Amino acid sequence: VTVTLPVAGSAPFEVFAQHEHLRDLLRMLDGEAERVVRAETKPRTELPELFGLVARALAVHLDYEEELLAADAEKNPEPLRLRPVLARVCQEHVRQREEIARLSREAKHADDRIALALEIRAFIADLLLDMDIEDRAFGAHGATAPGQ
Amino acid sequence: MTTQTSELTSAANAFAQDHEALDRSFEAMVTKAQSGEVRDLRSDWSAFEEQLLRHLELEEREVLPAFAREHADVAASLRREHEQIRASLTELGIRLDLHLLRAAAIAGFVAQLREHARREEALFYPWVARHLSASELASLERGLRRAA
Repeated sequence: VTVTLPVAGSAPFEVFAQHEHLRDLLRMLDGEAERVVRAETKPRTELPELFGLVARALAVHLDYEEELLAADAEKNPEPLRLRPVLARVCQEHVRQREEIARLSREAKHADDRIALALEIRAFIADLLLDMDIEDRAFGAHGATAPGQ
Repeated sequence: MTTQTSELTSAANAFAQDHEALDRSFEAMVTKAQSGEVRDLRSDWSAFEEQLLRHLELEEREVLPAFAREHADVAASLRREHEQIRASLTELGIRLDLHLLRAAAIAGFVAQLREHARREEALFYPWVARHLSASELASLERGLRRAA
């Protein structure tokens, strides 16, 4: 896949910037989850609250990406070019929303904080990988650098 | 935010003045953002958020419990409004970080804050001015000055 640089202010640039911010949030959440897993005694933790905050940021981001891709597919003179990307992203978002909803329920009710922390860490690893793949897809399909 | 200052004294007046200060901070942030000055927007937002949260906390901790003994329904509705304001603050902060803060959301938040301020200044602060002792009022004023 060829990755091109997104232009500042363009929609793909915004997606890249959002991914960077979400990576920071996910690393912070992962740090707290790791602390819970490694603690020798049951630690005081705000992991559920922190997960709630990150989950809300992810939900806002997923909505934005879908609106963006749908709008782009509509106005693009070659809509077929984006359809596979849109379909794949939407399919992935359905799975991610289900996972966020499941973990949100667990975060509210789970007594076993270590099991919750491990699940959150697995979810984060999966999400970070998916954002890397999306960055390549958005870069390849959505933007060109100045002068290109 | 409009303030019925003639009816208010001391700490009650300080609460109302704090509303006005928060309103001015928010207006200044919006004006800067609209003119493209976004460099300090996050730190301005964090300062505004901290000041508003302290204001809510001070009311809930120091005055609302006594007010609730006489006006349980009004106190409960003010607490609910505080929770809604906190939720809006979180949501706007998330959207700010994701570069998705829209004018409509800002206008909605301003309306929410002003309506809440109007209700407090009509129903709550006059009671504060009438019922708190001089030392309690002085303590509140100090708390508000620390929050500002």
